[in-house]
Amino acid sequence: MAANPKTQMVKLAIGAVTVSSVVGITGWLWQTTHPAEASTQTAATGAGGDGQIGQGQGFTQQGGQPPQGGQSQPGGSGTDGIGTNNNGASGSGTTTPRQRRRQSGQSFGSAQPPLFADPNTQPSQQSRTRHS
Amino acid sequence: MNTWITVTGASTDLAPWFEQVEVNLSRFRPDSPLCQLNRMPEHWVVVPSLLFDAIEQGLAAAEATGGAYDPTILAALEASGYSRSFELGPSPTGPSQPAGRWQDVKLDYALNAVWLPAGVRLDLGGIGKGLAVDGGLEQLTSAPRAVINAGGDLAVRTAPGDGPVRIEVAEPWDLSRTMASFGVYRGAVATSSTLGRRWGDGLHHIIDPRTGLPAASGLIAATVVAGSAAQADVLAKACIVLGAEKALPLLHTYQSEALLVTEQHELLTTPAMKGWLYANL
Repeated sequence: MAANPKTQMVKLAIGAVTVSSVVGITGWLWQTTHPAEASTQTAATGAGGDGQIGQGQGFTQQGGQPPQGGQSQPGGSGTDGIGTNNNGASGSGTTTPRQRRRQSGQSFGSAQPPLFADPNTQPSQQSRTRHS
Repeated sequence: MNTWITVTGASTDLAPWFEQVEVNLSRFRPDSPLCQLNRMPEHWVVVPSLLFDAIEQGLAAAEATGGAYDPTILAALEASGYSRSFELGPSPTGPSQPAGRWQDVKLDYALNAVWLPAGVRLDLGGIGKGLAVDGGLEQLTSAPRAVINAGGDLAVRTAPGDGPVRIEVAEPWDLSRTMASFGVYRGAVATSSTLGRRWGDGLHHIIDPRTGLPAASGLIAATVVAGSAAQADVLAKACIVLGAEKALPLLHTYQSEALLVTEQHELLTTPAMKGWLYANL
């Protein structure tokens, strides 16, 4: 274990801390079954037809989904509204829940790794991190 | 955020952006979308994009850290006495409440809707400041070089030909002193410490989601250098929760480096980090 430098912490004071072997993290993508998705599809396609969604109750938005106070433009203090869908149960149509995959936004692990400077390089500015 | 934010190298006013983050993600504003969501378990709730993205990243971070970071930790935080903004002082503590239900939170990507199980409420404090810093840097599109420092959570971008930005790490027990320093051309840094917000012997704001109790891994501080401030923020807290040995594989997975301080006031670094430190602090 000690032969692999990536499995060791470096102790700057005394001695060394040896750690267990590197255990891979098996990715962060996750999947979930989304019960409301079926109802949403039913509403959109009409398939099944006789579910609650098909009767026009749809996706109720309390608080208004176009935002109150603007789409959070810089300078504005308004926030987007939030709404609820109380028709969480699927319609009785033919659609079935399917697996969805994370698809939007920057993932937790997708950032470029940090780029360090050789300690002999003269810095051009400085900043400070403290403990919070 | 109860935090001074410094933006260097750009003229764009980021105050509205940070205000927007605060308005959306604060658990101390009863009217924030996060608080409204927390009051509506077992409903699909449409939330603003900013909150949705933060929850998405919080859940991804929980998975990445094996639950050492967990956005479903709010009940545990409140039970430990951290139920209001820290400067108002602690509230009475209750029985510890483990978190660990992040896998039960559901997201609808088409509708920006979130479903919380009964009894689960979210706290995004452990990642929100990092997301704010990352988002701020993204908005500085016209600035070839910039540094955003939000109370120690910071992100750096330099232009080709620039020198690096020197980052000083404060000692956890004496913030006026510098413990170590290093230079980066690109990246983000965050520091967490059990000494920062305490309200009693052994009571601090970094809760182990698995137990609901203040983390007691033997580490009192962790500074993480990562690709994004949100990553650094999460990984720093995960280090405190997991301890040095268990945190190292996680740091390696995310190509991050760290400086860790033990209860015995020993400074540990990841293997590569030692080579990046300035000799003269």
